[in-house]
Amino acid sequence: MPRSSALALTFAPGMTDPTAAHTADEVSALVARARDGDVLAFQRLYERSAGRVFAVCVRMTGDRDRARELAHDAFVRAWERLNSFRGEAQFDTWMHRLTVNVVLEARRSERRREARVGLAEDEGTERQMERAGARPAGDVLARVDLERAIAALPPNAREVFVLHDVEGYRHDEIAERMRLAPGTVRAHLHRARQLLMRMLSR
Amino acid sequence: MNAHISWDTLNDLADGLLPGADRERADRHLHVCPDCTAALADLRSTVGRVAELANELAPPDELWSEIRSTIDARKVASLRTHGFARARGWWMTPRRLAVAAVTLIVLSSGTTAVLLRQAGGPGATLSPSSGPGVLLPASWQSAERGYLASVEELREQVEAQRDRLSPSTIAAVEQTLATIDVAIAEARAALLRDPANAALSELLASNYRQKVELLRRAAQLDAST
Repeated sequence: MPRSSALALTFAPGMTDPTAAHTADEVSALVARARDGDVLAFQRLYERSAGRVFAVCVRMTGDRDRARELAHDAFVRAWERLNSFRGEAQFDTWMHRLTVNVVLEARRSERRREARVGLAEDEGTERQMERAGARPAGDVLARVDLERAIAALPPNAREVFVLHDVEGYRHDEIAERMRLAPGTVRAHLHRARQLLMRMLSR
Repeated sequence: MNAHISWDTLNDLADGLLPGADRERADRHLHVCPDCTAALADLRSTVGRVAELANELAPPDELWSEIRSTIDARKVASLRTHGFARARGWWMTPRRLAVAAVTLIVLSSGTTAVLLRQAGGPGATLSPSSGPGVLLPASWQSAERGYLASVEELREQVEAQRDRLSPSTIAAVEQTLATIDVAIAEARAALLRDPANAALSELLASNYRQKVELLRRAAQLDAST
């Protein structure tokens, strides 16, 4: 689940490493206080993990506005479920797992509502990308940065790519969380990478 | 292997998922095929670019206040009853509102008293409540005007549908509003005594948000409540 150790941890400009702010004991104390209803303690936990949570939501949805809603939902759920956090994992890990669940559940709800349209959107998005992105027209399309390229992926491909290549989940973990067959996860991942290569090539 | 390595096999190779014999065959092909070798390198390079991504992205500044508002609203009252669609919003029985009102008094007064003792030492007491006529610190005045404007607008909406609500519901809403007003007055008075106290400032903001949230939900009630 955690990002590969081979990946360097970097932080957005202006942000500091919040993990340096609290020791494990301090985090445990904050969790205990928050569990007892101390919202200010929960705010400290929020400040510690908000950047990570928001990053996961942005990359999995490709939509900052939607990511904001889901990050909000993730923290509210965390507040409501603090009693279920037993400390068997680190709070950051627990929060990350909860965030991924919130995003995937929201996506499943959207898929149920737009079942056939959702499938068409994935296919339609890819066809649009192939028409517009496979061979960028001269200087019109500047080199697409990686964040925007990920955001432009079809939903299923984007989710699988983010979970696997960015967040370090295994195929079987993704399959379980997304309720897909492992072969389908593999297909989405390979397609995502192919589309990214096209977008990122000059 | 005469044909080029398929895209799927290339990905499995990059991910270290190819079984032994298949991997050996792929490796032998790569030794003699510059195109597949280049494709594998491109693939690994693309995947490797995720290292460029920041581990975190700064969320919107208002996100915490939005989360806090939701948490505060849910601390005042129980959440939506099962069966009510989201569009209708949550609601609760008058009895639950009464219980929530008592809870709010205890939480808010207790919190205010603790913060005052921390600021003023043992024996610090709440000063007499002071209404909006006494101005808060300059940094708060604009925010308070905003809250009061929202409250006024929402009150009008609630009044517009008063005739459609049951007497018990109206009584419960008014009782809870009165309770929140007590909490606001206490926090306001405390903040006037200790204008630099960030916790008191947050407490007052929280109480105002609760009032706005309660009125907003009351304005969404229909005749069935």
